[in-house]
Amino acid sequence: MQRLKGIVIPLMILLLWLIGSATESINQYIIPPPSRIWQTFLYLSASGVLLDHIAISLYRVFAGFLLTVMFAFPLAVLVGMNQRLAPFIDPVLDFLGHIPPISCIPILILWFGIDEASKLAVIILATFFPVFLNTANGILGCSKQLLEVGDVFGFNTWDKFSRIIMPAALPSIIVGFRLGLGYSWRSLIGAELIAASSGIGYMIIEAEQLSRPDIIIVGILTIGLFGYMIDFCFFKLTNYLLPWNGKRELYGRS
Amino acid sequence: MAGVNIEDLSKTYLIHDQEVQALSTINLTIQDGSFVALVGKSGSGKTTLLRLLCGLEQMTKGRISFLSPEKPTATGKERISIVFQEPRLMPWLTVQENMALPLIKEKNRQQVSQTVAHFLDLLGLKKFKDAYPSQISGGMAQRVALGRTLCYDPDVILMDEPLGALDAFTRKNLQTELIDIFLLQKKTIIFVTHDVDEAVFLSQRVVIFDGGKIMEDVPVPLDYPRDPLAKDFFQIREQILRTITGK
Repeated sequence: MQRLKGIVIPLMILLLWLIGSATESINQYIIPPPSRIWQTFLYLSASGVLLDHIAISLYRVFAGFLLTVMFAFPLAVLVGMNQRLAPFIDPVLDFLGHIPPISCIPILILWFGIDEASKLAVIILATFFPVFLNTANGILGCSKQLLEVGDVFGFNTWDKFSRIIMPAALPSIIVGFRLGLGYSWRSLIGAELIAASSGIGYMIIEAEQLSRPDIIIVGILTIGLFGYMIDFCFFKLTNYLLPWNGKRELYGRS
Repeated sequence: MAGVNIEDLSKTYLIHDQEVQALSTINLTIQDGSFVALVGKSGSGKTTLLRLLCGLEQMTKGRISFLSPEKPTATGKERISIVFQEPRLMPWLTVQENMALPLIKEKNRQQVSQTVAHFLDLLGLKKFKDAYPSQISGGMAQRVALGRTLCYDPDVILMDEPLGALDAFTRKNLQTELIDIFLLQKKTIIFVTHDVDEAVFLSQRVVIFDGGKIMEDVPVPLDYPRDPLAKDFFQIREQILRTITGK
């Protein structure tokens, strides 16, 4: 029932769109009717064009995200576990955190060219902060009371890290990963809109130059749909990795 | 098991460049296998003493030794455990995983399972072994915390108002269970409480704290189980209350 409620607004928009197109109160050149969007979608899918663009965009998102995690996660653990490093790193991160990744695209193209490297660099810039900050904050926010339990039972630093700090930080780390994946998707499309020869962003900008609003809308809807699907998969993964969250069965707890 | 010997123990905290004396020249000997309650007003130094005993705080001055008849000198390897006022369970571990937490270094996992199963049974938690802390009541969570400490098999068990946050009914039940466990295990227990009735009901000796010093050491020579309405119980309770309130 909850899921059905979520499709009420999209259905209403679709209905208004259909009515507007049927009564010709919407300019069909700017906003083509849903039927044409559907036909374009079928054509792009059947010809494999859409899938090719999606595949390259997804590859960039996951490769960029993976590289970010490999870099940001250990650094966050290092800073989280050694609070003496924070005064050295915090001002630099604060400064970098205010720079929109898109603004770096021109310099990234100069450095890395128009190929994959510049796109990956944009994704790394966009994803780094949510992954780093949420991981570091999760570690720093670990309850002192729980750490004292480890002290009482004679845990060494590794025991405390692996048995208490990391599990306690896990919800925050997962939130960071989830945000990071969303940011990487958004920044990639931005990068592809500016400088690319493939990918969903490129498909949209090429359609703009060919005056094909139907392809643009198919591209936009595809971006939204895939973003939603990635987020949904992450949500399911969160439930799997954090089984103690959201338990409904209760024993003597009102 | 081990007894505790505290000599000239002092603890000073530095708060905003001001020295605050939490404990001042405490001398106390607790016999091996005895149940001692520490009572006193808030800020009298009871919790500080427990934190010093389990190594969560460093003493400013003095000496603590844990001695047993078999080991007349402290080895430094005595196992001391504490049950805090809050259960402090790991939210990501089930009841049985929480109880097995102190045994992570134990190689014999079958032995660990048996130990946990034994205390799950003893504390009536068998049915809830797969529940997470968020799914159980406060009383049950405190029982799990006690079970975790028992699985650790400490020489000395410290308890910092472990029943303080519970309702009267659950508290009464757990007091009875605690006495049963004490009589069965014969561990040295040092129990901090604000509740004089609880102290007399549970312990063999009540040590009264005030202003970081020991005011009085009152023996409780009553047999278990104790009747809070009995005349002897009432007299000891009144003696302790008089010392605390100074009336």
